[in-house]
Amino acid sequence: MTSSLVVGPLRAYRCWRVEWQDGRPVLGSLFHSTVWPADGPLRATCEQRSGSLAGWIRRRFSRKVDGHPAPAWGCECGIYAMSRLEDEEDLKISPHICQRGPLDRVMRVAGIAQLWGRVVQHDRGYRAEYAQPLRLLTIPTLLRVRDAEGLLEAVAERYRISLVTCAEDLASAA
Amino acid sequence: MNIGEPVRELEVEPLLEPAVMPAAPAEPSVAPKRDREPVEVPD
Repeated sequence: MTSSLVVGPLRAYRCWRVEWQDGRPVLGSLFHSTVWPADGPLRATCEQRSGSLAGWIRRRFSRKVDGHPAPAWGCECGIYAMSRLEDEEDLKISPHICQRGPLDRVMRVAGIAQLWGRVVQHDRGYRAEYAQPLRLLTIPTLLRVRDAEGLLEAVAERYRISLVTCAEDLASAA
Repeated sequence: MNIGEPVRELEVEPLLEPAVMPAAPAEPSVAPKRDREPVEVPD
């Protein structure tokens, strides 16, 4: 499969968890423990190479080639983002508290990320090698969660990204 | 996150940082000192 060259980073939607970790405001993945770095882009790695239980299970039951750079065609690795948000609710209620596990509640915020490097384009989104957050959507009437406003402002300052207060402003960056 | 089926592979150019221009060397504050004044030589 040959790659097409695209000029400049892509912009796409995704959601993050936002929280304090060791006194620092962080953006993290909703489905993994990954914390996005504040001083540069996040680079994708394939979990099939890691020592995680999920990685072991995938290696054990998959015929895919191990040890590849991420993202790879035919794998599930890479940093995910969507060409439009799958759940329109994310554009109406950002930030909000969602249940990630039986005892795990996290603050979920929608935003725009820039993607570059090796990218696998899907019909509704992308898997990218590098990603960096660009904008977060914080609808003022939803900032009822205790300390949410301070947390989001601290995240924006630390990651040097902007907060927008309506979905249209978010979309204009996409 | 359901992103559907893979369509194609792309190579996307990296995020470009603003170029940092090297600082120009400072102008000497004093004109270069000549070893000695030119002397008129008679023909």
